[in-house]
Order: sequence, then structure tokens, then C-alpha cells
Amino acid sequence: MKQEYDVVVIGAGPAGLAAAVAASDKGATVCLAEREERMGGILKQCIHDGFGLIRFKEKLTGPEYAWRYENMVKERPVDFLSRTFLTTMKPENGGFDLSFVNPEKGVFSVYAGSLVMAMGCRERTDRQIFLHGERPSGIFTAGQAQDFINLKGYMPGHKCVILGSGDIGLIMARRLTLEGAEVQGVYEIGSEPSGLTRNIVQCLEDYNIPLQLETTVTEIHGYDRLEGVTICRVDKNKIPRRETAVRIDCDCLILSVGLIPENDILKPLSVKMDPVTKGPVVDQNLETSFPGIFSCGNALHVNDLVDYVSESGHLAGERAALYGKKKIQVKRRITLNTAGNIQYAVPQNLTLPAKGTVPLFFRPLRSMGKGVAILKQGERIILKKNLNWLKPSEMNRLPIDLSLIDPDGMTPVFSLENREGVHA
Amino acid sequence: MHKNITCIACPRGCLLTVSGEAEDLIISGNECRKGIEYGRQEILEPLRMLTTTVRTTHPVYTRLPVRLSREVPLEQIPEFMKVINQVCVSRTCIPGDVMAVNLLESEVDLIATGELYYEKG
Ligand SMILES: Cc1cc2nc3c(=O)[nH]c(=O)nc-3n(C[C@H](O)[C@H](O)[C@H](O)COP(=O)(O)OP(=O)(O)OC[C@H]3O[C@@H](n4cnc5c(N)ncnc54)[C@H](O)[C@@H]3O)c2cc1C
Ligand code: SF4
Repeated sequence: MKQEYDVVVIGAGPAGLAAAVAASDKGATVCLAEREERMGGILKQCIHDGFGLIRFKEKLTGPEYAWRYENMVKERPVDFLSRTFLTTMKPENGGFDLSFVNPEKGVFSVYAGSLVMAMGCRERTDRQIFLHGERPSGIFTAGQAQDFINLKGYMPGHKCVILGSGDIGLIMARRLTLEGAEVQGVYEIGSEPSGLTRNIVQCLEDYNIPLQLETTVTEIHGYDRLEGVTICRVDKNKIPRRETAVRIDCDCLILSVGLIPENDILKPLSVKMDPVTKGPVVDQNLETSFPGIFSCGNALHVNDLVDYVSESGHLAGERAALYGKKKIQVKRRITLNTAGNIQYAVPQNLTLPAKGTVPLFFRPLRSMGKGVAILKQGERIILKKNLNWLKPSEMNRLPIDLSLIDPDGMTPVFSLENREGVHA
Repeated sequence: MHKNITCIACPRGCLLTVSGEAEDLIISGNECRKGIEYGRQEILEPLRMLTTTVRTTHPVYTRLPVRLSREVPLEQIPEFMKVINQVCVSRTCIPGDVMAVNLLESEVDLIATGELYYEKG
């Protein structure tokens, strides 16, 4: 007979762990499915510290943060299926028929009243950034290199070049150096580093690793093993200036060029996606356009703080548990529009009427010194807050009181503007 | 002495200019008082946490993540790496367990940050 659960959570990273805990605490029967053997998701390989300052008021390493949540899951009646991969999902009787595969049971199905998608994100690769040349070994994403060194104990190379200044790349620059590799430099196509200032200082400056902006890798050399790369300065339109080409010898190229939420599995159900976040469009309950499917963590949008990932997991788990009990009454689902210096805001929709306070997460499009965030419905101001030193690389969080939003009113607009007379 | 450093005590990231000598450092460029404190510490003795991994004898999980029990001077990090790389774990442990004591006679211990489980017997 097919196992049935009120809530099935896919992915046991910090988002899925928090979702499983929250759904169980709301009285739902919960199944947590994870394709790897252990819980923890990407945190298992993030051995550096800086996690949990908001959630636990402590500076933890990734594995320590994951371990705390893992224990919370184990203390609850949650069925954990390890080495279990979700392959397909079909709507059935108001819930979902899920097809899984694992080494013990082979292919099997499970019935879920509601679903929490917490599959995390994947890294962009050399193919997605159009690197030309051969495909020798020695080219890794930063996350692959992190997995090799921190979990398996292998060195990906000895003379490394890092392309992209994302946080994982910066952290790997330090990690490789500590393990005895020579990091030739970090090259970033943009005019601003994409990682946190803290990481620029503590991962690069501490170890005298050069960071070169407005520079990219244009060619790969070597046939079996990487032998070198050509780097070029770029012009304002990010077009390489060929006359600046320089060859750098290296046996390892590490790509830290961005993360993409993992959501392929939602495609057959035509779940509405946000072209900017690359995650699904959700309302304040983190429910997607497909009733009963909730999304959280990096599958929803790429987060830079794990504390926020857990928060979203908690919310999705709780709401998924209530969905089974049909306690969420939909009246009207409206769009939350954005204006001004906003790259994106999540949730993108609001289901009204609603009570309570929910977090609104957003990133600015450009860096801004003194800004003011305003949420308006027509001419009525629902929230207004001055914010300083905003950067696209740092996500912001604002609590919004949903009871202030008129369910029959106009479309609310969330905007970020310069504060009067001050320019960024 | 004259040095530029970036304050990382908050996301603003002021560019601090530090001049003068150890006893009376002059720090400028800071938007708030925290920058003074940060700049002084960074110039006199920058402290950092070290996190890394050690070898294990476990058949599946061949590395165990670890950290130091407190922040140590940045310049001593390579020496700490050397002694930590000698450590090999062959027992069950959970985050917080002390895996080696008094590294480099500095009263700093090595702490497990991950879990490792060995079957008994
Ligand atoms: C390489 C890398 C390094 C990072 N470093 C940091 C950092 O230093 N600090 C920081 O704050 N954030 C970091 N992040 C961001 C980090 O991903 C988030 O902070 C947080 O770990 C995301 O949690 P999550 O639960 O959404 O995803 P994940 O931790 O990625 O967990 C997703 C889980 O879902 C599982 N899964 C996926 N698809 C399926 C399927 N079909 N069936 C079953 N299981 C599935 C995966 O195996 C995984 O365990 C990093 C991200 C990456 C990719
Ligand atoms: S000096 Fe103050 S405002 Fe400037 S970065 Fe440091 S803490 Fe922030």
C-alpha cells in the first residue's frame, strides 16, 4: 500500500529541515526525502563560520548549524528517507502522487497532501557563461571544489585561478591557500565584487590574493589537463578587449559565477516562475501558483544568509501543514508590484484577506547609500522605512503587517527610492 | 606608518586610514565609533577564526570539519594548520567535542564541528 503523509518535504538542507520541524509541530504527518545519505544539504561542506548569528545568536560553522536542525528533526516523528530522489509528481485527489527512487526500495510512490519544495540551488557552470576552448579536466565550480576538499579530502589543483567573486569563490580562495595551493587571482567581470566585503577582506586581503575587477577568462588552454587560461579586461559593455589578453598558467579553474534555484521538477505542472529570481512565484504563505505546493530556501530565491533560509522553511512547513487542514481561505490572490531600485521582492503575490506579520525579502538593483523603502496601496502608505547602505549582494528583510492591506483595494506597490536630496 | 583598511564591523564598509604609531594611532574615514575599535585591533593584532578539516580512519567520511576554540592571531594561522594536519580521528564524536588540546602551547584547543559515528567493536 502506498504510504500517505499530510506533508512531504523534498530536500533536507536547512530549508527542508526547518519545514519538516514546523509541519510536524503543527500536527501534520511528515516525510522528509533527501537524495544524499545525510541531512544538512550544502551546509555539510560549508565548514567556515558565520552561520546562525540571527537564528542562534552565535557564530556557527555550516555543519554545526545543520546539526542543530538535524537534532530537532530527529526529536520529532518525521520519517526521513535518505538516498531518495524525487523523480516525478502528479496531482491526485487534491494532493500529489510522488514517484521516488532509492537503493533499498527501487522505484516507489508516496501520497502527499501538500508538498514543500526545498531542493536548494545549483551552480552556474562554464557552459552557461560561454567559455570557449577545450574541455580539459581541472575546471570546477566553487561548490564542487568545496565538496572535494572539505568532504572528500582531495585537492582540485595546485595553481588555481578563480573566475567570479561570489562568496563561495572567495571562501574557496582562502581554503585552497590554507591547504597549500597557490591562488593566482580572482577575476570578476563586473565593476563591483559580488561577494561580501567581509569575505574580500578575510579571504583575499589576509592572504594577499589579488582581485581584478572588469576582467574575465576568455580562453581555456590544455587538452587532457588544464594548462592555463587567457584573461582579458572588459569594456563598459562587458566585451573583452583583445589587446589586453594575458595568459596565466594554472592547473585549476574555479568558477564562482552564480547560483540558480533548482526547480526543474515543477515544469510539468506549469508552476508560474519569476524570471528574475528563477524560483516560483509565491504568496505570503510561500505557496506557489499550484495549490498545495510550497517553496522555500534557495529553491525559492538565492539567499545569502542561512538564517533566512531556515525562516522561510519554517513558514512553508507550517503553511503546508495547515493546507492539509484546509485552514487557509483564499479570497483573492493579487500581485505585489515593485518600483524604483528593486531587483526583486519575495513574496511576489499576496493572498487576501490576511492577518499577521510576514517577512518581505528584497534585493536592490544597484548599491544605494541612503534609501527609503515604501509599501503603498493607492495613496495609502502601509510601511515606510529608511534604510542605509544597500547592496545587491546583501538581501534585506522587512516585516509587513498584512492586516493593513485592504483586500478589495488597489494593487500594492513596494518601492525603494533615494532619500530626498541625497544621492547614492 | 600609513595604512588603508576596510572596516567590516558593519555592511557599510568604510575605508579607514590608519596612521601614527602603536601607542597613539590616528584613525580616520570611519563613519562611527566602532570603526576606531576595529581599526586599532586590525593594526595591532588582527584575530581570525580558523576552520579546516582533519583526516579520519572512517571508511565513508574521510574528513571531519574542525575549528579552534577561539580566534587566534592571523599570522599564526599557517603554524596552526601544520599541527592540525597531523591530527587523525578514529572515534565517534559530535560538534563541540575537543579533538586535541593546547595546540602550539597556546591554550587553544581543536573542536569538532561535525558528527562522526563508528560502530562499536
Ligand atoms: C556551494 C555553496 C556554498 C554556499 N556557501 C554558503 C555560505 O558560506 N554561507 C551561507 O550563508 N550560504 C551559503 N550558501 C547558500 C546556501 O545554499 C544556503 O545558505 C542554504 O544552505 C540553502 O539551504 P537550502 O535548504 O535551501 O538548500 P541546500 O542546502 O542546497 O539543500 C537542498 C537539499 O535538497 C536535496 N535535493 C535536491 N533535489 C532533490 C530531489 N529531487 N530529491 C531529493 N532531494 C533533493 C539536496 O541533496 C540537498 O540536500 C552556499 C550555497 C552553495 C551552493
Ligand atoms: S566605521 Fe562604523 S559605519 Fe563604517 S563600516 Fe565600520 S562600523 Fe560601519
